[in-house]
This record gives sequence, structure tokens and C-alpha cells, in this order.
Amino acid sequence: MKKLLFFLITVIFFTMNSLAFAQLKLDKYQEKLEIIQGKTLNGFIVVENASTEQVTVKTSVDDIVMLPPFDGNREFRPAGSTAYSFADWLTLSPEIFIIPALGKQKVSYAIDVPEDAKGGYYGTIFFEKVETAATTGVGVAFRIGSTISLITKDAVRDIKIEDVSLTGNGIKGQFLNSGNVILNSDYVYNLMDGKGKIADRGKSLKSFVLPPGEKFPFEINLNKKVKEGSYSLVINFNLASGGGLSGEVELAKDKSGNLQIVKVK
Amino acid sequence: MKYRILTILFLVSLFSFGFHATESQAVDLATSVTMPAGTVGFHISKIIANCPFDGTTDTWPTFPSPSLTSLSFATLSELTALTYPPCPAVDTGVKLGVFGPSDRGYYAVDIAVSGGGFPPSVSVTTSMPSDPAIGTTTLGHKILATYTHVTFVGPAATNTVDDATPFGIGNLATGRTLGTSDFTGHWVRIYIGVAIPHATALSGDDPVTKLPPNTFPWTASDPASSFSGMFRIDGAGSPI
Repeated sequence: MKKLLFFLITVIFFTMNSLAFAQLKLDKYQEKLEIIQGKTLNGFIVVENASTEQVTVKTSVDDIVMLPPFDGNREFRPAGSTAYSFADWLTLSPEIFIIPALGKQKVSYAIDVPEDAKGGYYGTIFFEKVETAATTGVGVAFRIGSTISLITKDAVRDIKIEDVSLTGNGIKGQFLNSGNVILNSDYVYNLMDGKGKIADRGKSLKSFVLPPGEKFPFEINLNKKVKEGSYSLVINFNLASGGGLSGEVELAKDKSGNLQIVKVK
Repeated sequence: MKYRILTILFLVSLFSFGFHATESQAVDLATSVTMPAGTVGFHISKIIANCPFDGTTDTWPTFPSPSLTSLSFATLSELTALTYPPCPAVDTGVKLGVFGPSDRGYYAVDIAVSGGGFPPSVSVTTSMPSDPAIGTTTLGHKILATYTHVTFVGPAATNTVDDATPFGIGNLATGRTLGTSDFTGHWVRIYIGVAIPHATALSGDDPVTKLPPNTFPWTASDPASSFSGMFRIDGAGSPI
């Protein structure tokens, strides 16, 4: 119901302002591509002019940097300024073009992957309507971009659970991205007893977008009704790119209800 | 029956072979994941503040109005002569916290996203020349932004909206990233205007300046000069 309401509100909002909104639409705004060292990757992005006026559009590429607390907070930086930039490998065609009212333009890209590439490389290809620069005051620039994640075949996706400690009725700790690609994920957990029976379960409230070497804090509160015994807390990470990872914490609960961390795997 | 099964298997094999052969010739990729299309739209309005300066009686442009392409804050000399007749006192109120230059104008930037299962976030950043009056900081430190969630509360045709739920107030020098939750069930409106100290320090304000941290008011000691800069809205997906 909420989704339907939001959809209706959004439709009304855009419809009411259709005269004023100069919109560019992309056929994709996130893409993950597997790359091979020494090969050229070709693809395209379709840019649509949803306004009733002809627009001139220019392309550009920025590096993208994920910022703490790694809940999606990020910053765009000049092309080639980060260690995992692919900007120098990229060729766009055309770089500047005119799209007629309600028209579309296919923009091709070619990415020459070097032989020594390893892990994940990231950047955002932006499309920006060319405006007459404001002579005084503060100009307004609007860009819409497609963020591309290039991943080599031998990339390492790995999460380690670290700094685990007890809370009132659960545990907290940090997820360390110990691989070499950015991990965009949420997670679910299952608390299983010695017989494999699930005693408690839950899921993360928000997803994280975690660069290599960075940590994301987590806290899991367990059901107070969980009985005395030995348990395995299995945390399954659902990667936005598909597939998953998992981690495990062995716990024990005594007669008094006190929790103990036995082992972190 | 066997013949039919063998035929189906043969056709499936042939189709699979042909598909992979075509793909490997076209692009050197093994797998890809693509998120569906998304749109980010924005609209900028200039509003004239009326007395009292509490954001409830202000004059909006006649609807529908074209989106503005720049935010004019005039020149610094005009700003330092800032007055608000005929209101006896400046009370920026809780709701907005921002007001504009000598014509009492301020701006509302509406941003909405649609499409896709993972809405893009919007980064609002500014790049402005350094202001000699306050050393290394930038003009963005003297411009306040109030972020609110907006929903329709009446028939859409009346354009009656509820934007009484601010979720962030700060200067524009450092920018801000908006996420999925900011666009769930509503769109985002950013009020932008000149930083004027609140009548009473709000929660999170610096108690001395009565402004958000690292925000500075316009003063008579600011040297007169023209300035320009860029207010940037970037809509894009995240790495996956």
C-alpha cells in the first residue's frame, strides 16, 4: 500500500511539474560488469530527453568514493583521482550531443582493461544538460549518472567479522571488507542450536556499501526467550550484485541467561 | 515422445550455443548485473518571505512556474545592507531557518526520484570562491540549507503539501548525500537562503552564533564584492 501511495505521489509530482522539469532519463543507473585483463569492454547507455524541448547534453566521468558510515554516503571526485578509478581506461562516444524533444541518444563506451587490473574499479558516467552559465549569482548544475562497477574475474569478495563483544542480549561488532571489491549488501541472521533448529532470526535494518579495508558496525539483539545451550549465529550477506557471503559466531547461553562468545569464524 | 524430447533438447542446445557465441563476439564480459532505469527530477522556485518570517505566509510563484537555472544572491554589498522592512525583527523560525537577500527571497529546490528498485541518491554539493572575510572557508558557509520531506496533504491539483518535517539543517559548504530512505513516501525539498542567526538557538546550533556549526552570518565587516558559484545536484547509483 505504501509503495502504491509513493508511486502515485511521485507520478502526480512529476506530471504536475512536467512543464518545468527538464529531465534526462537513463536506461540504467547501476551496472556491474565482469572484466578480463588485456581486453576491451564495450557497452552503451541510452539517454532519454523526457522534456518537450531540445537539449544539448555533455558527458563526463567522475570517480566515486564511499564515505563513512558506509550506509550509501558517497562523494564524487575528479576522474582518475582514486586508486580504483577506471577513468583513464574509458572512451565515450559521443561526448556531447543534441537530443530532440522526447528523443533518445545511445552513448557508447569502450573500456581498455590493463593487464595488471585486479579487483574492483568504479566510476560514474554523468550526463549533464548544457546550460548558459549564470553571469552572477550561484549557478545550478544537474547531472544524472550511471555508476559502473568493473570486477575482474579473480576479484576477492570476503567479509570478516571482527571486534565482536557482548551487548545486553546479543552481540555487536564490525564487518571488515577483507576482499578487493566494494561490497553492497544487507544481511540476515539465523541463530541455530546444536541440532540445526533455528532459535531466532532477523535481518539488517539498512544495507551497507563497504570499500575494501573498511569496517561497518553491526549489532544483533537476540530474543530473550532463547534457552540455555550452545548456538551458531550464522550471518548471511546478500550482495546486490548477486550471490552471497556468510560469517559465523559460536555462542553459549548459561542457566542464568548469560551469553558468552565462544568463537568467531 | 522420445523424438519430441530429443528435438526440444537439440533446439535448446542450439539456441544456447548461438547465444553465447554472439555475446562473446560483441563484448568481453562474462556476467553483468544492471539495475533498471531511474529518473531524478528537480525544480527550483524563488519564494518571497512575508511578515512574520516563519515560512507560513510567504508568496510562492504562480503554479506552474518554470524552474530557475540559478540562485541569485546578489552581491555581497547588497547582502551586508540586509534589512527586512516592514518586519520589526528577524525571526527565522524553526521551519525554514533560511532567508534571502534584500528582496526577502529564498529558494526551494524540489528533488524527486522514480523508477528502479534501488533509488539513486542525490548529492548536493557546492563549489564557490573563497570568502576573504572568513579566511579559508567558502561562500557555502554563509548559505543555509534546510532539508524537508514533502508530501501532498490535499488534492494534488491544489498543490497543498506538507513540508513541516525538516530532517537536516546545515551549510552548503560540505554538501550532503541523500539516500533511499529520504525518498521513501515523499520527495525532498531543500530551502536555501542567506544564513541569519536564529532568534533562539535551535537544537544542534552553535549557542553563540545561533547557527548550525561552521556557519557564519553576514556581517557589516564583509568586504563588498560580487561572487558566483555552483549548486550541484548529482543523481546516480551506487557501486554494486
